[in-house]
Amino acid sequence: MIDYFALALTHALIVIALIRLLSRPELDSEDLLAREEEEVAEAEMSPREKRRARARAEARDA
Amino acid sequence: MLDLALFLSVIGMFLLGLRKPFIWVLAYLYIDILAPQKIGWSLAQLLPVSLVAFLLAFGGWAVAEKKDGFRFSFRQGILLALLIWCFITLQWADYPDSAAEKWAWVWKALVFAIFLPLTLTTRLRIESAMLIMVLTAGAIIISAGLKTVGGGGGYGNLYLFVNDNSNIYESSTLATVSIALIPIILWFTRHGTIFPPDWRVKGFAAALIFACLMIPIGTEARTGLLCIAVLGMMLLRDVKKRFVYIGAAAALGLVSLPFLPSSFTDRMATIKEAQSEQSASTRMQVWAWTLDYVERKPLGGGFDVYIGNSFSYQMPVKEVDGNTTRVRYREVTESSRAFHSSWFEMLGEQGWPGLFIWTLLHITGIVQMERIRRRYAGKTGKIEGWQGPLASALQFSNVIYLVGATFQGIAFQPVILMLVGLQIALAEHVKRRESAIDKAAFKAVKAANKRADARGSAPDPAIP
Repeated sequence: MIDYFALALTHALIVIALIRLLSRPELDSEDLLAREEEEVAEAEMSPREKRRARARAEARDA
Repeated sequence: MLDLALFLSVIGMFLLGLRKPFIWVLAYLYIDILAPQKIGWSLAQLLPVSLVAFLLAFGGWAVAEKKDGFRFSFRQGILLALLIWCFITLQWADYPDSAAEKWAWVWKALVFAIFLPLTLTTRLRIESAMLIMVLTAGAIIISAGLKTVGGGGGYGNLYLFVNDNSNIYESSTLATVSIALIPIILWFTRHGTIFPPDWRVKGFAAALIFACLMIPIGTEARTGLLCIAVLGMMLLRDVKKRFVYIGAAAALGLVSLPFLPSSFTDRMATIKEAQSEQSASTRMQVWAWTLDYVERKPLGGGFDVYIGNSFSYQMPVKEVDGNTTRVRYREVTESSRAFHSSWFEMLGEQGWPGLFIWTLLHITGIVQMERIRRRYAGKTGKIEGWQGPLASALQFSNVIYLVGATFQGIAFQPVILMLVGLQIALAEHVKRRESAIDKAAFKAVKAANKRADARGSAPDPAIP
């Protein structure tokens, strides 16, 4: 009885895990350059900063 | 019914592998740990499932996987050296039949440990391999743990699914392996992504850890108790609330006391009395014999060379007669006693070179994990928060194994070699990611320089 319980429980979890794995593309390849979300958010410029940067670049090119 | 269910799960895994060949690697891990073909399995005794999974895992990798990040690491080299050296000592083995029998599974375990890191190329793959290992070993551990709680334990009495002392179905080995898995189970309660940590995952992990702690009690393996003590001390390094932890550990110890059968406490008490205890005396005699043996044959005597040992020694026997206790010395003769220690197993079987390679393999593992742990210390988040804790967990598992291995001949234990494979995979993953980041930074600098050159001015100092 105990054997059946232990086998059934763990096998059910293994099956769920395998099914979940199949639907995840990062199983086979992942983005090694991915950064933490907070960092990415910080790195992203506000629209105002973007405008300024664009203006600077244009001034330089001119 | 059970036959059919196990048969279907193996076949199911093989079929899923057609969609993602990596599943075949997981299937091999599952089959090698659980040995479903031995659990009263009549249906597929005809099919050598272990071999099929081995070939599918290799074939799938060779045919379907891209190998652009393919690298052969230093520690895989150590494993390869060990494999080659074992093959060489096989040639002059004292007991060729017995040695060939051991070689038949040792080479497979070593080859798989070399191969495993090549397939574990992404974080999710590393995690899934660990998850399958934990759940598969969990089947054995949960059943043995429940039986222990129900009072069915005892040295040599605990019935597992398979009772032929193979792989982790040997009671002391199971005790060491289940304690070595605890740090990994703990890792899943914080960093798992297949089963994101919620109350169910934490509840299951707590129950599984409890079952793991029951194994040394159920199997009455004294080494297991030592492993628990070492684990308890090591976990102090990583816990944030140390006093709460110490209190909780003490409470857990007290709670488990009622489950301890008196035979367990009796057996554990013998840890102190090495002299009057036959198991300990034999152990020391075998170790002395091994040292003597390698003095004559420093290159070792091949697998299972212990068969040739034989020794007599005096063992004190207490005789209680009324109020007086007499100690008499009785001569005990023993022969063909196993090494009871992986260090001496390596020394006797593979000589000094083998012992050196094996020690190097594990010491480099501990050092490598320490490096990763330090590099990622204090990092949190989904992308950089998991490597440090995983390195720490794999390091603890390695140390626990070495403690257990000091009193057991489990130098080539396949599950432990899988853990070595996981360590290598983690180290390679960290390296690959860092070199990708370096390359990207280098490219950015180069592009900036090019732009600057085109403009005929100095490079943009804002870009590193």
